[in-house]
Amino acid sequence: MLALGWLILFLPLMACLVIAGTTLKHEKISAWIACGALSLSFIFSIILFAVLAAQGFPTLQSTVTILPLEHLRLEFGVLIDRLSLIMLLVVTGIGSGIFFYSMGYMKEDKGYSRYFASLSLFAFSMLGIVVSTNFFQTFIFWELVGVSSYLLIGHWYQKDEAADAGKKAFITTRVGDVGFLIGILFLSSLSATLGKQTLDFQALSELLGHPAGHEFILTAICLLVFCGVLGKSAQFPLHVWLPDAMEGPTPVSALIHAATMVAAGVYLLARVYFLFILSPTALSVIAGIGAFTALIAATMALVQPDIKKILAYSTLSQLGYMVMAAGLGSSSAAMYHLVTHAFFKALLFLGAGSVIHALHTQNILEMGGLFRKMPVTAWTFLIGFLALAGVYPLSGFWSKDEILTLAFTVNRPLFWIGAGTAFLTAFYMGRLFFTVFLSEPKWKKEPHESPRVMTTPLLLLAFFAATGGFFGLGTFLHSHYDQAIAWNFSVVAGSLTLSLVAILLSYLIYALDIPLLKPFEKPFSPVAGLLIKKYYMDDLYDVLVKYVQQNFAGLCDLFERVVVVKGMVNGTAQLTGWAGDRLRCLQTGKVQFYAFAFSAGVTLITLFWIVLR
Amino acid sequence: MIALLVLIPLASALAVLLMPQERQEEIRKITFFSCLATFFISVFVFLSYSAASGGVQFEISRPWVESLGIRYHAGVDGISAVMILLHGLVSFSGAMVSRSIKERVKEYSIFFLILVASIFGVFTSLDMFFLYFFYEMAVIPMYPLIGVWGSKNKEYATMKLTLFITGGAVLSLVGILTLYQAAGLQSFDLIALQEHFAASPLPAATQQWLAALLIFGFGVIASLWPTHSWSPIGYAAAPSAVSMLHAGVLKKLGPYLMIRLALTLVPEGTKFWMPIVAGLSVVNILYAGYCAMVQKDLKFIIGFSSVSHMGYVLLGLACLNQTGVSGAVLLMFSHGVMAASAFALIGFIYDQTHTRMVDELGGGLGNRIPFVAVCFVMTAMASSGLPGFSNFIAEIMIFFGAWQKYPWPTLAAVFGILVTAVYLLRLVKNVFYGKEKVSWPALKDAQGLAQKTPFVLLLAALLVFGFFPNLLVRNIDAGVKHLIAKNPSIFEVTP
Repeated sequence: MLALGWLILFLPLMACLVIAGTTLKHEKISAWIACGALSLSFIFSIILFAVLAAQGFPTLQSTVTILPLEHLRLEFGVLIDRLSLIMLLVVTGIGSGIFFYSMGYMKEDKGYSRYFASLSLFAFSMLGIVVSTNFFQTFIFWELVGVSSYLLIGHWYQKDEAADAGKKAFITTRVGDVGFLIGILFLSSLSATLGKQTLDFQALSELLGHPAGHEFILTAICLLVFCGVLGKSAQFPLHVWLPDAMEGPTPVSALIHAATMVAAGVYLLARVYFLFILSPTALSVIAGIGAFTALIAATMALVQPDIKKILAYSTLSQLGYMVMAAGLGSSSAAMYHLVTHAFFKALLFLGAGSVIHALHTQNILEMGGLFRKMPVTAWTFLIGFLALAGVYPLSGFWSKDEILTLAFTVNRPLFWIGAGTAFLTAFYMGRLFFTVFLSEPKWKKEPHESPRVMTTPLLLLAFFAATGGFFGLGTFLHSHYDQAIAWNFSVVAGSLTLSLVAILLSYLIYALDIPLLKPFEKPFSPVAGLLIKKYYMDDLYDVLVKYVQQNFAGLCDLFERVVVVKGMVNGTAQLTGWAGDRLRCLQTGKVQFYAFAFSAGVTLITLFWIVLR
Repeated sequence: MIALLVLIPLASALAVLLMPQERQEEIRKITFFSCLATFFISVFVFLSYSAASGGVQFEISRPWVESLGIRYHAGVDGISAVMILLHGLVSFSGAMVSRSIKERVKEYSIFFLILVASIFGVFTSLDMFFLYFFYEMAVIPMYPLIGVWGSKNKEYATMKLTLFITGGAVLSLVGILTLYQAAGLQSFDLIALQEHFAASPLPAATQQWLAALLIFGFGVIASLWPTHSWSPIGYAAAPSAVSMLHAGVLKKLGPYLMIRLALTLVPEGTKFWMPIVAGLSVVNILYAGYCAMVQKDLKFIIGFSSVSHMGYVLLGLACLNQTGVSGAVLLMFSHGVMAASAFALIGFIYDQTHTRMVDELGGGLGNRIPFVAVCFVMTAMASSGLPGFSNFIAEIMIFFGAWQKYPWPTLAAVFGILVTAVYLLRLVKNVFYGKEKVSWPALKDAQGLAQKTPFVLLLAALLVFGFFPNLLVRNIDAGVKHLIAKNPSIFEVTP
């Protein structure tokens, strides 16, 4: 069965190599190779799931050693358990849908084959994280998803914004990776102290099963590993790259920057939850950061005019929910929300892509009245919107309420932040939906519904976004590390009411154009300014880069030029030259002078000798 | 077999010397085929070196100056097998890139072939005299190669480079001669000397100052801070193939000779200085990394980058444990190939645009020269330690090795990967991405086998060893294990 796991992992890589090596000039073939390979991976994942379901989901693992050093064994393998199976299905399933969608969306793009090669590379890297058996392998693929994301954000590299956004994404996530790598170094020495140096998840979880002491170092390790999560899952304060990443093609935003890659951080939290559970301090920091990210991202989404950026902030906010859930003690609740979010957020992005494809603008204020023009897009988008807002009985309702109920029982302040975020979420999504689909049309050229290759994935995703709550995912993923979550009617009813009120408000304001917000506009304009400026986080980083980093670099360069080169090197050369110049004076060529110098020298030495005696 | 590595280029140099200079095509062919032959031999030597049996293989020993005990004693161990492969690869690519040289092809080829031969000489010698002889022989052709065929500020650059490296060499020569005298064996033979010093070690104080001479003498060519300043300007002035060989291979002679001489002959003294080397190596990594951030000339950026990466090599070496030293050797290989690729690509652009300044190139070149751009992006990714390229494995090994011994410097070194990413991605963005602000109508992409082969060859090597690092590491490890077996006292035994 594990052979199937290896095949699932390597099919997309083969697709990437074949496209890069042979079919760059044949665009159609490239696209079919990429889509075919990932669809095959998807089919194999389903088979794997079905076969293992019959055996009661055993945990399987196979590894090969790529570097068998005495003090450093680097391994690479495939780990199949409930967690990775679900994630395999999500990545290959949603991935295949988006690959096919891309065929239509990217039509007539100059870098068509390159796009599919990068997309396949991404799928390979992401699957590598999913089936990873150890920290080292996770780190490898962690970096690889970073680079494939860099390539895809910068797909239209001639655009300065896209090139900058790619660079920003790579470097920002790498800031987190530095912490992650240091965490891995700490972990390897900790495991050595505990008896066996290893980075293998299963071995570590056994080794750390009965921890005696080491609290401080464990907290440090958890927080350092969490740095990697901060970068990849775009949590505060490393969230700044994700909105910019929307410069990439929309299917990329859907797959990488909404459904899968950004969820890798949450997946990692779930995968090594045995580690995090050992440090309550780290968990509470994680929960706090998650809740804070959820709230500030939702507020930033309120004022954005760009359809993709609204969705990007929404992704940040939802990732914050997941991280908060993990921090509050339930990795299965986090994973549950990850899966449902993957469905409805991919759906929303693809819907947005369909709209952008029709209108060639991303500004929601230039859209409007699309409900009749693009019925499939509109209906599926509505499902995605309601699922995200957490309306019964769509998938988002179940997973979000699980998190809110958890927060309600464990940490009351975070519950209130979560509930507030839920209200804001419903409101900004209402603003988006009603402005785009129900308000007065503001476009000039008649839009058309997208082709079948694009709407079919929408319908499939809409189906799962609607029904995702009925597969029992929460219990399926439940592990013995997780807190049990008891159903609480008042929490559920309360959050549902909040969402419905928010949707109603946004309907009145944006669909019916009732100026309810008018009286608040003036007193709250500084707040709106702050939100549009994204809390000045980007400006803060710009200052850091431009003044601190650049000045420090300039200082090094100045030191190099003045002290090292001019002072030490050329100084030595000048000293040599000067000494030569002086010494040259002794070479007068006059015999009398030499005779004098000689006798003077003899006299001095003799005197010296006598005196010393 | 391995004597051919030296003899073929030398014989070819002699043949070129006897040819009339008008017959440029034939001269180019001789250079090309001579480097192709040594490339094949180097691959053969690498593949047939048996890591399982370890030790010195392919040994040759012939008397030369009997009265002084100088023998031509050559052989290959696990470490030099890898370095020979590196040099074979880079010199062959360099020979292909040298086609762009149009003036005084005859003289250029002679000097180039002598350079190639002497570096092979260093990597194969097991006799201190020949080791030093070939080392100096490598420095000499560098002077005219940069001074005549170089560009921009070349007289200053070549003078500085030669004086620095010769200065370092003189320091180490004092060390070498003292060792010869101290042993009293009347022999320069490394293996004999090593056995002698293992049986009756020199007193600690003597070892310390001898090790200082060797480490900081060879440290100059390894661009150990603060004796690195010859390096960026030297590469900037040198013609492409010379930059490739210098940054790719010649620079690695520093750490290589530290391992060969300092580590094996004066182990206790080496151990004494290694914490200081570790400290300086971190300065190398961060200081040169930040310097690279504000450079405007492409070759200066890559030049400072190579100074920065040598910091990782020296840090790995300073660990004196198996993981760290093996990682250092692997990085010597990986960085050598990567640096060669970077300089070849920059040279390719410079030959057509006659500028290397980032703002004069104006950006957007990716659209015009996609093949070169893709190769450059891959090179930049390799340099910033991306998985898939062997540089990544090397850096990971160094981090794990150093973490046991120097935790604080390791933290700084890990931070260095971020600095590397910043200046390289900025370079890629400013040169290849964005809109074309300056138009280069004559700029052509690499075409045909002759132009593409060097880039493909170098990058393929990085990828192959990135996916299968053990192909290299098993040889390196055999070499390092041998070192440890000879000097168990100075190596960390516990992980």
